[in-house]
Amino acid sequence: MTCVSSLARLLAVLLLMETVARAQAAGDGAAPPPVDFNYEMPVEVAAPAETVVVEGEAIDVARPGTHSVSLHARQGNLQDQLDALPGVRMVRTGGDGSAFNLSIRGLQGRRVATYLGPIRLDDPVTGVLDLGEVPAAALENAELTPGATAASEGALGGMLRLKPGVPLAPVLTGSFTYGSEKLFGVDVAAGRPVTLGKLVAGALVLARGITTNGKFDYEPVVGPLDAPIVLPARARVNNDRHRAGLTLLAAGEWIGGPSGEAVLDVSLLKGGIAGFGTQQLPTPRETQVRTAAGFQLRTPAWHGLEPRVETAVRHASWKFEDPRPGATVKGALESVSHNGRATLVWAVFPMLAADASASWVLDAAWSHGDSGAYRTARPSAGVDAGLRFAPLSSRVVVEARVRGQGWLVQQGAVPVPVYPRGVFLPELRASVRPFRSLVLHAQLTRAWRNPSLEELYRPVNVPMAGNPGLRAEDGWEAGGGAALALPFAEVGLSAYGARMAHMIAYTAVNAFDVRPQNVSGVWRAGGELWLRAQLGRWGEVAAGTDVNGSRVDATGAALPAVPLLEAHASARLGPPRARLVLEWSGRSGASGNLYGELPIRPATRFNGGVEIGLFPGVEVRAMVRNLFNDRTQTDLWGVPQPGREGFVNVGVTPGDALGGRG
Amino acid sequence: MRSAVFHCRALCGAALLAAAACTPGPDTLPNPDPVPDTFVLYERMSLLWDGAGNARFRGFDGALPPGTSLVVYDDDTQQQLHEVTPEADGRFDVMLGGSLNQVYLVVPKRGTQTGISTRFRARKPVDVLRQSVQPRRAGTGSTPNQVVTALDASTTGSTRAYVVLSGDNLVDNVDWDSGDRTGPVVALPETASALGPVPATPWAMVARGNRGFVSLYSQGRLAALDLDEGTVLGTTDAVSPVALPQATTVSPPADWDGDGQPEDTATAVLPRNPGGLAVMGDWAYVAFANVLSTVSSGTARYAPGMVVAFRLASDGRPTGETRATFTRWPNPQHVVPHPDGAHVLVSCTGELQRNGEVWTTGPSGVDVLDADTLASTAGFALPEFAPSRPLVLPDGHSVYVPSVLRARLARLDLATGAVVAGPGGAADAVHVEDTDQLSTVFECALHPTGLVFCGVFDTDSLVVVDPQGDAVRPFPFVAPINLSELSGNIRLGVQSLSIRPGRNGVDRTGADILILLSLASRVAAVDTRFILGP
Repeated sequence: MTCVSSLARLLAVLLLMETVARAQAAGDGAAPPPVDFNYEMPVEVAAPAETVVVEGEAIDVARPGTHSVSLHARQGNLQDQLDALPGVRMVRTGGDGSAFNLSIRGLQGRRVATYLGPIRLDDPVTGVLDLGEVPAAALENAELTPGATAASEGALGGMLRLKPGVPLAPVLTGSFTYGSEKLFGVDVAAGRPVTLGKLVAGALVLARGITTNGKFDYEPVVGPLDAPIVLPARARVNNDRHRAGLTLLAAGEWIGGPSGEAVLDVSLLKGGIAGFGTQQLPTPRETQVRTAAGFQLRTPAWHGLEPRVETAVRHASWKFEDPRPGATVKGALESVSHNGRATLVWAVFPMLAADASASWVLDAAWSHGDSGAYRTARPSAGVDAGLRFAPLSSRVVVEARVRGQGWLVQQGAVPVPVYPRGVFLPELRASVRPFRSLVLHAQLTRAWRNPSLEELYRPVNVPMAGNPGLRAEDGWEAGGGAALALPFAEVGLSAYGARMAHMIAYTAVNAFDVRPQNVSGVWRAGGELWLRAQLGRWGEVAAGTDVNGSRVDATGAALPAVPLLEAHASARLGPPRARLVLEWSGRSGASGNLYGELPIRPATRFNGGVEIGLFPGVEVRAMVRNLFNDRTQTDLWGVPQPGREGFVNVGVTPGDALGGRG
Repeated sequence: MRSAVFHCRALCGAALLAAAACTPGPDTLPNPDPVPDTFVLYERMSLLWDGAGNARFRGFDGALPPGTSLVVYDDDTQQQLHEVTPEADGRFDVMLGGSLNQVYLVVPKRGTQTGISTRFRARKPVDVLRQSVQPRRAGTGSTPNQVVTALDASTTGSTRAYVVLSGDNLVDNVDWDSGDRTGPVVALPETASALGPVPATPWAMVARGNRGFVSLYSQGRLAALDLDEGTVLGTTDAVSPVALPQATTVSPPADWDGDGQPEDTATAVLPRNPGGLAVMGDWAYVAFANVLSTVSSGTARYAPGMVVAFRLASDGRPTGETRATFTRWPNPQHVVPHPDGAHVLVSCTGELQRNGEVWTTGPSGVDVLDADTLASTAGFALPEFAPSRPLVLPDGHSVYVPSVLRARLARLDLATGAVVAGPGGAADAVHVEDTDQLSTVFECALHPTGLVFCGVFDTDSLVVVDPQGDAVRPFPFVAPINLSELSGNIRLGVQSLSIRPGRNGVDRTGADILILLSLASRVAAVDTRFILGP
């Protein structure tokens, strides 16, 4: 879903209140709310469908299966909040401040799509995204769609949309974090709305920096899967991260006319890349610069027609080098990705709406040095058409979409049609609301992941060269679920079954070379169960569990690094200005390779802390993670995790007393 | 780990995954009775159907001692079918005829003495080759590089094999009988450097009694282990740079002497990247590949390779006394004892390079070093062959050397100093696989029958070669022994294999070949009793 400006949302809320009031006055169903196109991507209208809100977390009854969470500093860091979402797991390289990746229902990398406003963040060349680079303090909302969706290329596992927030009132905020592993973090944001005649606008600038040496002692778990061995403690090194970033957000609306918003984000990273590996040789080190910019523009509806345009450009530069004397390892990889979309929405009748959009993407990359020299580009274009039918006062919503996409595979100047140039991706979703507080939903979706440019074109004279003969991963998924929203609690469950054909994995092609290959089909099935409840002014509790089973045809083993069972629970207890935070998470073990071998041990951890509002505008959050100091824990892929660690975050929002950011 | 019940994954709650992967247990032997311990070696005989429908009765090296014979009867009619007399090496090969599932009574004779008779049931080679494989005997840790059995395991009664885990920096063990770990694991510690800790990366190992000797690839050292206690007895100090016989121009400049500065003229080489090793008497001989940069960082570059000998104390600890010499060819990878006990054989793989899609090597060969002086006394040039670990054959003077680039064996004659088969030899190399594509054989192992089992990395199989006539896939090993139960293009990666000393079916039962599958992090097993013996 595209990003909606806060101004537009404010207007929408006013409109919704009026609509609901009229509906309530006339009896449920007498005055159906406008059809909501928020469901999935490409379009939105000003008035959202009915939403059940549990203090910042919401399930939209018109978009069942999609989870939304409000983000602000008081509720902890970004990875913890995302980690608590059903079906989501954060794959971490260490403690706070280190790199972390998003995994949804056991899939990660380019198999999940992550957006910041209109900008797709995950690298089209490598598929990698370190979410630690994201300007968390500028985010207002994150919306997660677990499961395959045709709405974004490659989203076999799901899609995450991070929505930046633009101030509705003058805002000045800052926070400082200090923690284990020599973690220092600071961010400062300032912004204000502006009114110039009929133009209402807002802007926010955010500067951020965080550094950690990533160094901690851990006890490696090695050996065979069925008889692992815990070794004496050793130090995790070459895992330092040093980041800085600058974000500009702007949104504006010509009253009665077009509206739009823009994002510009620059982030820098230096660090060692023990990263996601378990080895920690003192080489190499990396430097990354990522620049992303995008904007969205929309106009008011005219005879039911509403055009929108969005576009974004992302540039990433990645360099690595071996610092050892005399070492020659050096390399660089640059990528540019441009995506755009033009959409036309047509609300035909109150119960029927249609949309159509054209989208285009240009991914380009050039690499030099020891990572292999190549230049390549891949343009693609697609059309989407959707029909949304909501009879019976939105008690039943049926949405059918189809996406057609075509692309040109190109290496240098020579087109190489090595895999199908087009695909049709149907998506059918339906939801029923038999009672006001209960929503049942089901979907059938096809998703598709083109091989990344590195998977295709990394030259043969380097390890893990590309494979131009790769086919795209092709996934079908069926699923459904239910959500029950009560005044004080929300309970939900969902289940899915999926089949992925032509899974791409890096495997040995001989004794010397590892390359990406279409190794096998994969069956996946699982589901999520979650509960969130309010305890009035005295806090909230949440719990959930995920099951993700899989079977790789070729080996009969489960997908590597995907635990069968995960669970988490959390509680925030106490009065609003002084809350005790308790968190627990656990997961079953997993295997570390495609053959079902190598141990990733079960893990469970407790975190605890306090959130204190010292006085209006000043909040302190102190947390201790891994309370019992279990230093044998690894994350997925066996990446070591720290033992007990702590951090303190102090947030200052001078404007809070006056209203703050909306 | 390593239970007889293989890994079964119950995917609870996954309705579509009801057919979880359960690897079946091994097939049972057609005749599980112990092999009679008599003056003939039944476990070196096979009676299987050939492609023409005949029961073919073969005996391999030493199966029938001189002066003995076997009388074969139809077990139903008690009619004598054949009297088998051996060749000089104890082998025989006769056709018996008969019908499928026929049982033959075999009675050994030595003069007027009758040995313990036994019954052979004729089987189909294809069936028993498949049944002999246990695809997962045990799991291993990360990046396993070698599986070895103590040289003297048959005399010490040890039932352990050892697995060298380069990724986990461990030496683990697996019991031949149970597949379980029965001894302590040896963890190899890191060392400190200016740029951080350096892992051990154990590479190759020799086990002798309760002592193990392991080369530590990343640290450039040798470690002596107490395998019973699971401890490191001692490690060698990093070896000082070894002076070159003459100064050598290095272009482009590279750091040969390890001082951290690239030089354009080298006078010494710091020993780096120890790999294969051999232990003879009080000395451990270790090959140092001296890789300056790998293909991963551009073109691979090598300093001249060398062998360093480390003196061992009586308890196995390194004494600190060393000798070093440069090898004739670059990139020495393996060292094995010469059968005369006075020399070592060093296989030098040459400078492996990638040229586009093709891997090549330059000059390569097998060097013969005097064990005392480390002087090179002979050499077998094998240009562009990329030799791997040499294997001395039962005749005591022939050597098979596999290639890491092609599934070929070169045959060397230590007595004449000639390449018998292979580059520059009188005959073409022995083709383990009929392909000219890149295909790697890292190791071959000698079976008590005199047959050689070669692991082919690219086909996940064992191919048997009979040194007599260099026959590939001799009867009854008419097809490769397929170790894989996978589908698609996923490989297991046959890296190393070890054959259990002793008489299979007589001294003990169960698997007698362990195969290390490095990509799968797994050990497979083959029980040749399915093919050989009653």
